[in-house]
Amino acid sequence: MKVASFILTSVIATYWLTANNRYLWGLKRVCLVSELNGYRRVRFVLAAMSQVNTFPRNKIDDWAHLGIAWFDDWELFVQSTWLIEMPRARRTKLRREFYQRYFISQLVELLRFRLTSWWTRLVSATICSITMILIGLFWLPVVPELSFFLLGVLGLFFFASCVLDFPAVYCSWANFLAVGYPAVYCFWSGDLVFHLDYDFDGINLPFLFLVVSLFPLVFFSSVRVARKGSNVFLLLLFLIEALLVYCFAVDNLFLFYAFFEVLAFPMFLLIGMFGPRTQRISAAYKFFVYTFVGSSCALPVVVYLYFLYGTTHSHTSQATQFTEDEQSCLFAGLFVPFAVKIPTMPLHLWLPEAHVEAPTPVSIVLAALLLKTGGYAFVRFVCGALSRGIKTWSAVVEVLGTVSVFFGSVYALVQVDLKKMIAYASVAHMNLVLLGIFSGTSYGCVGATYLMLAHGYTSAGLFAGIGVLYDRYHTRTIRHYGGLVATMPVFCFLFFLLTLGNFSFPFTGGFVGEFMILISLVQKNFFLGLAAGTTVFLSLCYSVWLFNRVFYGVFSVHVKTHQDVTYLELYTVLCCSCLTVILGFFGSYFTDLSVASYLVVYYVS
Amino acid sequence: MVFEIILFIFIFLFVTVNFFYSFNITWLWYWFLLLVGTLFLMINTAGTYWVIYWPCSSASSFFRRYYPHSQSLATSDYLDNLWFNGGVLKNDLVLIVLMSLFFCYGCATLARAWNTTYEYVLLLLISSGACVLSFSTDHGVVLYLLLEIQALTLYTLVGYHRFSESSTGAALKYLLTGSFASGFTLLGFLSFYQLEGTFQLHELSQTSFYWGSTWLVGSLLFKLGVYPFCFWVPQVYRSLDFATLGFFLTAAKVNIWFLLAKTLACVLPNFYWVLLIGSLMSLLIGSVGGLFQRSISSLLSYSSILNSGYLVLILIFSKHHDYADNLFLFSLYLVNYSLVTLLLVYSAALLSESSTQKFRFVLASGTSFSFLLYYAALNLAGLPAYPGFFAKILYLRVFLGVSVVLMGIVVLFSVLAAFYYVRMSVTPFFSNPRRNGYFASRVRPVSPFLSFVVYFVINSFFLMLLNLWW
Repeated sequence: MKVASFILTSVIATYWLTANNRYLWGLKRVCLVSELNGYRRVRFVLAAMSQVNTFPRNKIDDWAHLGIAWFDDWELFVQSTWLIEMPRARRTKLRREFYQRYFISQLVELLRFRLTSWWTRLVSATICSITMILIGLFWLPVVPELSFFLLGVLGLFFFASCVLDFPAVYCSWANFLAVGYPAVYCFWSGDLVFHLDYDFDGINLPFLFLVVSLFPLVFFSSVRVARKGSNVFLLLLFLIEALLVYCFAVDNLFLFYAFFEVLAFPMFLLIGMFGPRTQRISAAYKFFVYTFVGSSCALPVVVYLYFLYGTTHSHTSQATQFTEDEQSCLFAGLFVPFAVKIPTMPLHLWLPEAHVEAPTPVSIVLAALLLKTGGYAFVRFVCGALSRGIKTWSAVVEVLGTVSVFFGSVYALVQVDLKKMIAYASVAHMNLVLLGIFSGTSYGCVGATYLMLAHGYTSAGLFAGIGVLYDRYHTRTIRHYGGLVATMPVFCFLFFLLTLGNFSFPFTGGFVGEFMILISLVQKNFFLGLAAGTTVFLSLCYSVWLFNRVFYGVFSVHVKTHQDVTYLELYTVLCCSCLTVILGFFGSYFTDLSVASYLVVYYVS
Repeated sequence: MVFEIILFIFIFLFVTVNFFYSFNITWLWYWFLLLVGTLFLMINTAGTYWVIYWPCSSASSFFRRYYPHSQSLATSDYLDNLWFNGGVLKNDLVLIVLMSLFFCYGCATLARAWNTTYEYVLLLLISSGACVLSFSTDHGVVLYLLLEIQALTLYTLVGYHRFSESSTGAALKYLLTGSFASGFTLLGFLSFYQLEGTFQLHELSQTSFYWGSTWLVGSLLFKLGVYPFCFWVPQVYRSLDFATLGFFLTAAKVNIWFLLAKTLACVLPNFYWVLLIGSLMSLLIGSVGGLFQRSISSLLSYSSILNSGYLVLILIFSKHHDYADNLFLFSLYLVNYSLVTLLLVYSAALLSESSTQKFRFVLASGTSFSFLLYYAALNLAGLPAYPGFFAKILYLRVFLGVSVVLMGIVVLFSVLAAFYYVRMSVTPFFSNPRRNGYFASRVRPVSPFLSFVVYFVINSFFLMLLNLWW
């Protein structure tokens, strides 16, 4: 077995080296000409070797006159600049010819880029899964439970998450909706694909659905960023996807903790490596410090449960009778990391920074998916098992939640940066989710999950929209925008739908969630409901103000490009807008089915 | 069994080294040269061990012929009858320790041997030979002599760059302090002789005596760099080059750890409070001190103080649970720490602009070495999915058995330490490659993630291999 897997790994590694190393294929340069003081300044762009054979050698001399030279030593080539003068007529003709070639080559490169990225995903997934299996083998006698998991499930699921996740989760979702019993079937043959230890239930299926449906959009929006950052960017994003699927699939605190902590690192690298500005590094460190200190608070809890009670499964924890002191200590330990992720007010400072410095797809992942891991963990691991701990700390949690909801909205109102405003709106919404989860009713909890789902699509759409604007105007300051409805009517309409979703207009997904949460809060304490309900008004204020300021009013002098959304951007934003609206109409399907799961959490234990 | 071990070590070294050297030099010819050269060096290594070790072993007719009484006096065949474990190799620390020793030695030699003279390699060989022999001796004075030989070569290695002021200064410091420690070791053995009338180590390991063992434990703590005696560590390590640093951090310490964990296991409970305070202070110094360092040598020296603290903590709480389990944990942690530190030093040496102490990394050598460094540093930080994380979970379990507060303290220090590990791991990713100039443009990028994955696989295999014999 070991020998076989070693050989397999080596073969795959070798194949990876030869297949994906672009420097083995060689290089081709295409030159880009631009005018500068009556001279031509020549810049060089790298493209694939596949073009070299079709490159017309006899034209090279002509192009050399133009300032386009052929070099074999590309290191010299990249740094060189030539200033060459030439007759105007010849220049024009040659330039036209050159541009034709250039665009064709760009097209080919784009095509190849897509193919490569998919191939990259497949191969790296295989390697990752095998590696994980190997680690599992080593730990087999040490942590039997864990290595069983790593052995069988992780490898399978790692692979499955890149190839099968989409159909699998869709199938299980459909199955769940149809018969109330989740299982994963192969969607072409109808066989049972795998039976896992996981409970796919009303609690985690929405999150899984969110992950697998948003990630294609994330990949679409990352085409522009990934160009310059090679495939490391895509690999990290892919890693995040797989880890998120795991995070939402497991119901074992130990494993969840492991995935939760690993999840921070690709995100840390993505922000620190690919952010557009130089402040990105401090933002990344801030993100890391908050997340890591938070999750290290959960480590003693995990160790405590694992070695004193023998298991960290959520079902077993729910069945265990913890003493009151134990419960309050465990709750305190678990509250910090997940509150950092939510993020609750004193621990929220990393979020605006990270959002501002991250590139668009990373922002989408951060707001729409990463924040949800905190909410999911509360529902899964805290609510059922530590109900008396929650009662002990309920005053603190409610005060923190309410303060965060109110001040999150107020801060959003005074922001001058587009992304920061949406980030603070996320703080407000997610803390409403926190209040819903700890309201103590299954009703509030279902509402919280629904709000998370809706907020996932809405905030993803909003960040994608901000990415669209940033790509055109290279600024995120709100006062530089104005009157965009004249230049981008289609985008304006889509952004309008998302704005409606952001302040939870009826018939958008947010309305259902917020309504249920507020009802449960009012049932508990009227004034609490009132204080949390201020967000309804405040979110209306900032959302409409933002929309009005950007799309209407005086046409800004900074708006110099007049271009509506491209097809790719349209697809990304349109999906989010549509889902925001669709969730507003079909809420009852979801809530009816998942109430049963939440009743288990709240009343069976 | 022995042949299997050697075979696997060969395979491991072969794969590792060829893998590394294939990055810098992409041409087939160099591949071939390196392949042959590596094989040559490995055969050389094994051969030298054979030459040093075999005459001293009981199987050697040469040794028996000329020194018929030496068997009871100085050496015994460590593969057949060890003085502590009746020759059951499977449950022994020695194997693990030896394998890591071989590994470290081989890597340090290879990292260094391409551009140096033969004296360096010779010194490493003498040091490693003394180290190996110290596992198999049963006599206090011989052990002292072996430790002294080892220490003398280490002094020389520190001062190897004899025209460098920092190097000679460090060597002088190390010599002055280290010779005190050596003297105390001898004093310890003598006082045991005074007490029991024997120098036999298997009797020493079963006796709990206080007065003389103070000297022994103290001198070993000095060599390991645990709290009261840790102040020489950053001073000396700061001036080392990368190959020597890797050797000092890992291979030079394994036999000392072995002595503390096995030979002196009975006397350790006498020093409970001293060791507890000492190791907690080591944790404090190692984690807080490392936050302010800018060079990788200093960082790793503080890291070694920190990890010594963890290891001593595990040792002093061995009585609370099953001793064998804790010893397993101890060796697991030690091996993981050694291998990963060596990997870290190795990748840092290849990433840095010159093989000196500056903490300047280059992204453009491909993301591969950056990923190696990333893996190694995060493994040391004990982050999930790496072997270090599981070791951390297991030693937290030991501390949980003692007190929850202790566990909290240990987690706190590990978080502090994780900051500098993470800083180290992401620096090559976040730094600007253009500023680093020439070197950056010369090294060809390789396929990202590959080296990370392959090293991961190799490392896992290596650890699995240990598991096989466990």
